[in-house]
Amino acid sequence: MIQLQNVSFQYQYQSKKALNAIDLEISAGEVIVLCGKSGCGKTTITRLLNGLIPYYINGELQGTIRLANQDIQAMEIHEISKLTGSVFQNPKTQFYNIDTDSELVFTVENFGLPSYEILNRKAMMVEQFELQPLLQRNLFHLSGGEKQRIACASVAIHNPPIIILDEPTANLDNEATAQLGEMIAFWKSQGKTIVISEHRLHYLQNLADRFVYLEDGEIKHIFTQKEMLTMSNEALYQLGLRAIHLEELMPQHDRLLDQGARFKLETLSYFNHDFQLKIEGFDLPFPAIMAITGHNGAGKSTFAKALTGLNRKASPTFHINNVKFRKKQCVQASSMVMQDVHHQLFTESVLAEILLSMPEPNEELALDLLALLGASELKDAHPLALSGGEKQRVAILSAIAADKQVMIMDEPTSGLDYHHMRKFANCMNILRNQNKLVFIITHDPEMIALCCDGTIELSQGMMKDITLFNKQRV
Amino acid sequence: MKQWIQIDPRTKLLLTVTINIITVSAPQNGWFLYILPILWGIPAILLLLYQKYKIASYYLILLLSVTTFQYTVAPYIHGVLFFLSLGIISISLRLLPGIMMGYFLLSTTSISELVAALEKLHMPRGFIISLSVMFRFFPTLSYEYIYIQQAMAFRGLTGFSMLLHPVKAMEYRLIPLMVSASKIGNELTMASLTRGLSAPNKRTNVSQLQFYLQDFLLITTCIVVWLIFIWEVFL
Amino acid sequence: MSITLNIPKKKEITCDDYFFISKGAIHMIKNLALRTEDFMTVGIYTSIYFALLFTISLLGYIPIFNAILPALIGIFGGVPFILFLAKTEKFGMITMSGIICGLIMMLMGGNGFYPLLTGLICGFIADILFIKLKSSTFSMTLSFAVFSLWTIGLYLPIYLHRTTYFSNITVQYGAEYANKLNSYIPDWTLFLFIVMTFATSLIGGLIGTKLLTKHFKKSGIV
Repeated sequence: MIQLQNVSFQYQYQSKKALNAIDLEISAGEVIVLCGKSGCGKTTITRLLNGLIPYYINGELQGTIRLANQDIQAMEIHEISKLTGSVFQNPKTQFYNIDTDSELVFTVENFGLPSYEILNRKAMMVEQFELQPLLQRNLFHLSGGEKQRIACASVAIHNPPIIILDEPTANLDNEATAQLGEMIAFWKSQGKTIVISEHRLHYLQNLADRFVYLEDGEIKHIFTQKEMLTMSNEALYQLGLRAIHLEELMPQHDRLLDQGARFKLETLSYFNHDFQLKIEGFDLPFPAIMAITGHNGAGKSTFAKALTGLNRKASPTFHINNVKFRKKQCVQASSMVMQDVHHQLFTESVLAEILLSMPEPNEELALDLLALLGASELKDAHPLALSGGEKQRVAILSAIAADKQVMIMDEPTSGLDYHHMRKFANCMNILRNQNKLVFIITHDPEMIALCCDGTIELSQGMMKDITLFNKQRV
Repeated sequence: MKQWIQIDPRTKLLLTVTINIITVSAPQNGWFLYILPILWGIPAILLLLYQKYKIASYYLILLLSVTTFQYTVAPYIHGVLFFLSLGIISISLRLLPGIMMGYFLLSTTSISELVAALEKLHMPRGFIISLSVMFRFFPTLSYEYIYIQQAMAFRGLTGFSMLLHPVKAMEYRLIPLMVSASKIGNELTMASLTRGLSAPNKRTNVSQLQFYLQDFLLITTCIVVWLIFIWEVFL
Repeated sequence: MSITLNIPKKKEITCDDYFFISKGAIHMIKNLALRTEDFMTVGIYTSIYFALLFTISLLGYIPIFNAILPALIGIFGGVPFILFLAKTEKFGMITMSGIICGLIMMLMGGNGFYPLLTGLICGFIADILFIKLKSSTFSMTLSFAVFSLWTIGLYLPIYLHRTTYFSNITVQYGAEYANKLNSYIPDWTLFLFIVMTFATSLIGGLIGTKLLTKHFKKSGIV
């Protein structure tokens, strides 16, 4: 079905080849997972398969790519899109429309199918994927998982034989990831060929036929499903991949937390026209690193923003070591690293970014901080030119530089491979020694196991559970 | 939310153009003494019919208070106050109906319907793409801006200190906004291309556009107004 | 994108040669024609420019600011527009942008046909300038300044329909006041407006190009 013969590609402004002499053959009905560290070339392969390279993305391409026995370079991109459906990483940016109904039929409208046929297919998709509750809604108001479901249905509606997914679970919680897995299983049963580029492998362990491991643009190894299942978590970490056997992850319960200092939050409530948050007060050791977990929509971001006083409708009050902070003081005592770091970086060098956050600019201190997280060589780089993991470190550094006692991180490791996630966990461990209380909103069980001291689980705007791993009393 | 009556997007477009142009260019005498109030009132009626009660009431209150102000109090003030009030009154009466009609058009028409209307009017394909992407982008921009504001709040870069450094304020807000917008735009373009947007064939549209009685009434009203306008102004 | 046409040096030109020439021409036209992604780029960046413009024009409700709106739009609008220019390589994109801005202003702002007209004309001239002069700081700034002149369309009704505009005011406020206001805005102030808009847009364009180099070039977005 898909053949890549001696394919090499180099992006226009880069000096190194992204792909080097790739040879791969995928038969019809196979489910292939492309995996590897960040920058290994898996996204590049997906872009080759859906025609974006070379039509939209410039660079030097060598080799032959065939889809269903047709040379892809002889086809126009709209012809290619009849054969392949593509689901992207970020649900928010792949929608052309604002409402769900229009989005579902967008692809088939483009192909010019007659109206009655379009409506038939739409009804079929709604039934197959159980989209009834999502109809007639504003796409901006859906959760990440709901958005991905609409995205999947809207690319499947024209019944392409090949479906390509580029890190589709990057922004999804565990439940939505499982749902995506079900959709892929469904497509597999329909005989479609599926190519997925992913970090998270656990939900695919029983679905994929082969796992193609890439490194530096070359195929280093191809694992069959059986081989993959027998790999231990440690062996996967060596390859830079995330764990498959999640049940083996053990949070660290031998870390002693200083019982002397405490962080106490008073009851927090917040009302919005479509959401209600009510958290009873709790008492935590300070410093500590707590993970905030829960389904998408449970109110984690809302809780974080309310806690730090960013939400004007909430009136948070907390005590650190018996010093009271309320409302505006809460904002002044906290800092947040947001999910999309682009919202936070706006100077022209990493050093300037850190100096900006400091209450009093102190270059020596800034350089020390850079050294602390191993980022000294980045000091003159432009923040926007860095890779995802590096940008995030800069954002964390500027949050630390602000010298606030409470820090919130929103989904910091969602798209990171093992190596970068490990680096992040090390950062967090260093932060604990800096006398800070860190709340991390996350779905990442590996990261929680590596650096968190406990979890706060939210559900539907209320606190369901709060535990400390070392079994200390809360 | 079911509306009581449906108005075709093409009618809405014609109304918007008509109201915007006539309320500005028409003299306030003769026929227009009667036509202009009708044109001012149409957006209000439409907004009410579409259950946008809040906006409709703001509009009506503003319109009524400004009109009464104009005929009762205004003739008696002089000087600077007069000049200021003139400004507010003239802007309100001249621009507000047009703006309200434009708001009505945008808030009650989905992108799909708008595209269908433009396709039926035989507008060029590229033009329709640009326009629909624009409207899809506006809400995205406002959400992104909110996130950026929040990020700034944590770094203490809001409020008064910003008024003192307007250029810096602009830089800190605009740069992340444009970086975000560029990225989103790029991803959107890629996704759209893989969904066949560049296909050269004629595009279907599931929105069924149809003219009903209310459309004919409104369209006839517009045509009459235009005829009178051309007669009065050019002949 | 340069295309070499192999025209053999013969005394007569045969049918084969016509075939090559026309194939080359078609190839060139295909590459020059605006494609889907170009239209999307226009939509995306025009929406940023227009959103900024709209926010600024809300200030126009205060009578004093009303007069300097084009100047403000010139200064602040430079940043998004210059970014748009950096991504523009084909003729037609800037014209389209001008038409769209003019159209929306016409549908929203109550200034008659004029914004659409000025949008079309200023967009077209700015487009020609930018494509002919090739991308550089100078051409970007100049092109933006020319483009910005479309905002004059918001004020043309006052100058071109002077009698109507002021007769309305006469009806409402009396001849004395109307005449006074009329005398404040003689025809030559239009020229002042144009110069002011052009000058501030040059500044805005320079700010835009400076920020472009500072942030976007360094980070590789452009």
